[in-house]
Amino acid sequence: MNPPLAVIRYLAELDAALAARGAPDRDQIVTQVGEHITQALGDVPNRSDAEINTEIAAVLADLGDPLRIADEAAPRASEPSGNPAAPSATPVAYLPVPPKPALLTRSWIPAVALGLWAVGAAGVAAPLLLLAVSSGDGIPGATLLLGVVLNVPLVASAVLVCCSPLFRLLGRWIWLLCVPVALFAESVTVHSGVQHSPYPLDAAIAWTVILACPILTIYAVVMITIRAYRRTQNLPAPVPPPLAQPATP
Amino acid sequence: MVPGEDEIATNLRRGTLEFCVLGVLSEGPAYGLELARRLGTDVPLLASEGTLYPLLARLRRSGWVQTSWQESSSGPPRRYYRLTSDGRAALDTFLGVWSPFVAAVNQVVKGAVT
Repeated sequence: MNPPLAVIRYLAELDAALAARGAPDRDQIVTQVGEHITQALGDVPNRSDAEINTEIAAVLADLGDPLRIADEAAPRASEPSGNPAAPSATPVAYLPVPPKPALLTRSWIPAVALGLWAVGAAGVAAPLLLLAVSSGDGIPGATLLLGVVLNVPLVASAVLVCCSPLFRLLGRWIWLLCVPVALFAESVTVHSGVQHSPYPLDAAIAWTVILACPILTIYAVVMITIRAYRRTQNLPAPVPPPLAQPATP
Repeated sequence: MVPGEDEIATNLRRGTLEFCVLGVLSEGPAYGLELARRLGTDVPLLASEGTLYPLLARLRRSGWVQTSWQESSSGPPRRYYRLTSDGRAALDTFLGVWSPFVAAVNQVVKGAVT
């Protein structure tokens, strides 16, 4: 059984209050209060959530204010004072603060992937766009070199998307394929020279392809990013360790 | 300033409650919840059940109680507290002081009332 949120909060408050007063035996007290709660709640099956919540509230009320417990635990005049800032001597059997999610499931991962992708895609697409609007004299070598260098963030975004569980299989494939496919379509269009065709219909098709490819690609990547971000909001809470962990008496 | 009942009760608990715990344990080992109920529900000696645990930690540090785990038929294993020989000696010493102390206080307070 995982401890309910109210119990985790109560124990966290108690732990903080004990730490603030430099109470010795801080871990021991928090652990034993946790055991008290476990025993008081019992292990009765078929209870509704409402009944359990009512019972938890009653048990916590009987235990009393964490500050009052911490006052009782504070070193007396004849006792050496503990160090309030000192970390727990032994791992507490409860996790008052829920652990952070894994690195690749943090909420900023989709934004970073999108940013890397945008920089890389812009750098790679820029030479092609220049070529499309140029009169056929070619593009400066520096621009071409920049486009090649900016492949690095594009590759980094692809690696991030492949490694992060926030991105599902279909999204990964679209993410990986949309840039090369779009670039291929554009380059074929540009190099075939149809945009300079004397026939208006051919030029219209060419410009449609040239404009539609990046727009559709950007739309797809943004939608994948939004979905990945929404998944970070719906991730299940990290599972705290079991309520009672008898280790050593 | 006149002290409230809570303040007086707090002052009286201080210094006596730990011997009340020893007194309960002198009847046999008990686990935390059981102790809390006996001292907090059956008789109103505990300010709240949670305040028992700092007290037990202090008694354990003093070597007056020790703990051991026992299986429970109705849930997870329980941590039982039992009196040590030092704890027994401390309780006996307290009892030797307590009875004449209570008698003296009663005598004086009753004298003040009458």
